[in-house]
Amino acid sequence: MPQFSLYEEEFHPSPWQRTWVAFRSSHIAIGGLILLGFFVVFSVFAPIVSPYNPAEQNIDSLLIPPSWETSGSITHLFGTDPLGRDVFSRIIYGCRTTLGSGFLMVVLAMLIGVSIGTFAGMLRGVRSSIVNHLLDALMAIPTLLIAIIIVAILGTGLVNSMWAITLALIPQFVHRTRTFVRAEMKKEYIMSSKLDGANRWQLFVHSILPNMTEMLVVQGTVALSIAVIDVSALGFLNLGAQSPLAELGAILGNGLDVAYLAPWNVALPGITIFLLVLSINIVGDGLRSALRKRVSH
Amino acid sequence: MTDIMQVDGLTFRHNDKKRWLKKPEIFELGPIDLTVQRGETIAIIGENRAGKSLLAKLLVGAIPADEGVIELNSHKYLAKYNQLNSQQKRTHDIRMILQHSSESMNPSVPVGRVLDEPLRLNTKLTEAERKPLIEEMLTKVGLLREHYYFYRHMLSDGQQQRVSLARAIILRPKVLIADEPFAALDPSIRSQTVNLILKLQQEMGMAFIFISHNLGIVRHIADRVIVMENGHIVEEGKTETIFRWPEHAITKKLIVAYQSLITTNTIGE
Repeated sequence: MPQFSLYEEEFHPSPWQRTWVAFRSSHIAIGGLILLGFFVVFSVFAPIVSPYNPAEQNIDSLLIPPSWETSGSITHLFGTDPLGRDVFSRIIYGCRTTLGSGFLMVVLAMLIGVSIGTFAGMLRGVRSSIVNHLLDALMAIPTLLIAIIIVAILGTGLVNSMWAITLALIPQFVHRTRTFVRAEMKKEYIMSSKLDGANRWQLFVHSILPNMTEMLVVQGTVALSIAVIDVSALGFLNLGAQSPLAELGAILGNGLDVAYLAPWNVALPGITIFLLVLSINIVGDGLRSALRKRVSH
Repeated sequence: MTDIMQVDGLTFRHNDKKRWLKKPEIFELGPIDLTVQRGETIAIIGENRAGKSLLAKLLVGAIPADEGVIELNSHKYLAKYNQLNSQQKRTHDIRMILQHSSESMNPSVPVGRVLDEPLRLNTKLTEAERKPLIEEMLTKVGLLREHYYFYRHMLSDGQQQRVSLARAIILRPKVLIADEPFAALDPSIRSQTVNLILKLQQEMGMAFIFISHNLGIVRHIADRVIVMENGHIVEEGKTETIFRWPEHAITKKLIVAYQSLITTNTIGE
């Protein structure tokens, strides 16, 4: 072959560009991404896009129905709640609280979980199995239950419930990472990197981490949807975010008192939670198959 | 010809201790004594489970041995310890092509980065100096420069084999060890690879030790043949001597099996 002088390809797509091309080919994934992007934009720009202050009470307009009903008005798009607060603004701020805290929790849990898991996966013997079996025992308990127990000790509040959910999410990351690292360490490409003289840190960064993105994305999106559901559940049970703070689960819980009188106070935040979790799961699934397609055709 | 590598009393004991409900497995390799000369080609043959791959891994340092000394260019390594600094020198001088070249390539790292790793870890070259070197090595093993950006799944088996070869020789080792490098290739790619290795060997003057079940290739390219059985070297000698006057029972069996496959008539007659 060297005797030919061929023109070189001018453009080599980077790994992320390849992932994007594979991701784009699935319409459902794109739909999910648009929906999630919608939520993210609304959460980030909440102060600009929300028409009212979410905590502002207006005694003149109690329980106004949403704008599409005959007695509704366009001034309150999703109607108002029993204290006269605008439901649309509250839902926007609720998304901000729920989604934002979810992201924070997942990033923190991922950082801690992946580092512990990697250590456990690279170590051998007693130390590794102690980490493994202790955390496997924790994984048998549902995260929400652990979170409730921790909240019971620390006291209610959004920050406490965030700590609780983060702690409850960590074991899953540790378990997945440890299993993954252990399986990878036995493969031949690790052996050839070792023969190149790579130490453990270099092995992890240059050989294992590139292969781990798929697992991390899958686990990260699963954890994000669990986090969103758990934060709303704790808010709904009055253990998480407390009343003046707009949070989707807490809005839903407050709306429950007037559910017969004003069903939109329950239905709209409920639909929002549903769509939020759905879009996270769809995007996660699309990303997983895109990442898999990237390394195997 | 000068001695380039000397192996004295290389021993490995399978230390799988007796466990509950599990019979202890006993496998012992060696003691192995071996001298390798500059530019020499040595073939290791033998039945399965004779310890051939293990010997290759011990030589390259992938598995620490229990006893023994490997002397390379009058630089001694205790095969038992792989201390980091002596390991560094060893990775530089003895390189290996693993048995399954497709599994020995990281699936989510492009070829360029795979080839960059040995240079990055073992030399002081900057990134700007490494890239032309990698591209040169790619063309040397018969790939294109743009394979730098390719991933494992875009390459055929033969191309993956070439990448492993490039990875092994990029540090200009003194000794190259290959574990069944030709097993998975079709005859034409196989002869291309054999010729490529022979050419590179001539250019770079390295010794080449390979394990093979294909006695035709062994006879064609090896200067010396080592026959192994149950972790010991049972016979050793010049290729023609071994093929014409085999002495040990195992060698005779292997040679007879090989010769019964060769028919005298060729295509077209």
